[in-house]
Amino acid sequence: MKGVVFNLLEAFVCEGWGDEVYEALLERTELETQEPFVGPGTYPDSDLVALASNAALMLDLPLGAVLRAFGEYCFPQLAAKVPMLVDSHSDLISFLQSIDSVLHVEVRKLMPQAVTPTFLVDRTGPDTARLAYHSERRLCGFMEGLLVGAGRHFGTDVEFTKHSCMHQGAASCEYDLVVHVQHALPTSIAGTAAQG
Amino acid sequence: MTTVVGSRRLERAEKRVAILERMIEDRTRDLFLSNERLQRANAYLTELYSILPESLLVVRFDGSIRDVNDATVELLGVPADELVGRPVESISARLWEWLVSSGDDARVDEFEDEWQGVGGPIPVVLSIATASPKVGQPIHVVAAADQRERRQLELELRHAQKLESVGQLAAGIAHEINTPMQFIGDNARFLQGSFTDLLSLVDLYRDTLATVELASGPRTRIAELEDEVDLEFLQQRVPQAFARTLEGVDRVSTIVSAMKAFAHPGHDKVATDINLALQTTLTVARNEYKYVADVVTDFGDIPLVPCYAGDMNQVFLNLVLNAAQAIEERNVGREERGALTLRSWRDGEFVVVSVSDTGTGIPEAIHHRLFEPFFTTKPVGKGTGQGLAISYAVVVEKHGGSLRFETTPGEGTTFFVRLPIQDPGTSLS
Repeated sequence: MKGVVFNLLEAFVCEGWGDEVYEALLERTELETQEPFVGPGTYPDSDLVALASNAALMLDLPLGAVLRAFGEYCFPQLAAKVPMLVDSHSDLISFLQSIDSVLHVEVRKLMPQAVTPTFLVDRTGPDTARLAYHSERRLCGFMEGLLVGAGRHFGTDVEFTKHSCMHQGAASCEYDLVVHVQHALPTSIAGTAAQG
Repeated sequence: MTTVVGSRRLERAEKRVAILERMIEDRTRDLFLSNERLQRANAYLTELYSILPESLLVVRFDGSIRDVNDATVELLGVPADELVGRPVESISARLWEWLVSSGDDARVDEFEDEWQGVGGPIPVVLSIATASPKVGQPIHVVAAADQRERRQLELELRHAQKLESVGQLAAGIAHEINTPMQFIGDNARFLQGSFTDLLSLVDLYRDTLATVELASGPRTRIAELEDEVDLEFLQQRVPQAFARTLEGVDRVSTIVSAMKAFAHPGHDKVATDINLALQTTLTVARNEYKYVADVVTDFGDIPLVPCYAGDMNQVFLNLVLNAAQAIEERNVGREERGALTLRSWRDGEFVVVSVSDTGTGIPEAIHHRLFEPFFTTKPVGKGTGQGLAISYAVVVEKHGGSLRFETTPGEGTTFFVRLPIQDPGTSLS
């Protein structure tokens, strides 16, 4: 996993619960990585899972909810790094369809060591799609949060129904997506995380 | 607690800075090395593109020329900066029509076209590929092979075939002329002898007539008839007429014999009198040099040389024709005549023939191309560019000899043909 995600996790925890909570999280988590995380570095996936798991324990929240909230927090930060690859799309489904063929390709160009997930999107109607996510990391909760964050970026709410999950032995996590035009103003990031 | 947290965060931030600095250094080094590799690859590809013998043209989908290589610049005679950006239609409307109609994934070979160069239309054969590269806009890549030399070759081949037919025809005619010329000559000689005899008889009659008595009537009639036929004139001019007739017959016979000897294909090497071959060549080619040059021959005492007589005749003819043309070229607009000198001598185990002219000489810039096939300095239709190339092949490859030249521009040229007296093939066997 790239260091940028670890740094976002630090910012996510610090902004939501304070610096002390993050320091305590670091202190109680056994990490393979002994040095501080930096954005361009690549670190073991297990370190991210360990940090997220301990955060869930410390905050007394389900791991899935923490990962989803973190994903939702991450999307605008990550999108800001590649605005031309996001804002060139007029709607969420069109953007999702370009992730594997454009965005992940560009990520691998910049960071050849990066291992990107597989993200297959079939549009089934103007506002509906079928999505299949596969990754050795099995971070479907984090991906769901990114999905919600992406929906918000395009001014929409995403409703998804999960049909299968890698955590239950499936080859990929599969979803049916329905996109609704958003009427309410987006909630604040910290608020979403706290609610999650 | 907050101070401890703060100092930990500060410590971590400092470590991050150190790690990032190290990363930046590593990346900078990688970038530098990658950049160097890229520059080398770019230089290599640019050079490759530049030295490619085929002309390359890269055309955008809007029809403008995006790039050309050196061969295209040379082919069209237009600088690269004037070609780039120009509509390809200005070079070939037909090519542009094809590109427009061919679609996005077209490919074709052996596309015959004509490009507009500075010196006029240039026949070319094209290979065209249309591609959508990963980087940049879709393009048409056009590779062109110049067909001028090939067209010239085809032209020369047709010309050579025509000449061969004419040669065969001439040899046939020579054969047909030979027989009547023989009886014309024989009969002329018979008439010459008979007339001389008749004149002797007439002289005797006249001497006798002067000493005998004869009635005035017949004597007057004889005197009148002598006046009428102009006997004195006949006595003086008829022998001259016979002599000139026989001289003409001899000349025709010599030419016919030379043509027959010249046209003889000669499939095997035969012991050949090189001096005779040179004389035959001069006879056949007389029309080519008689108005521009005086011939000097200096034939030495040389042995017979094993050679393909027909091929060697062709070599000597090529050298004599070139010499005559060089002299003619030099003396354009001048009254003077040039000298065409043929010599032969023995040099150890070789016979050497030299053909010298007082012509234009050969510029140094083309010395190295002189024996190249199809290289000619003569205008289109005048020379085949084959003469010296064939001569070189005949002398060097067929006879194991050598062909070289010495020249002084503006003064003249001498070609030296050196032939082994002993057939190299025979000595080897």
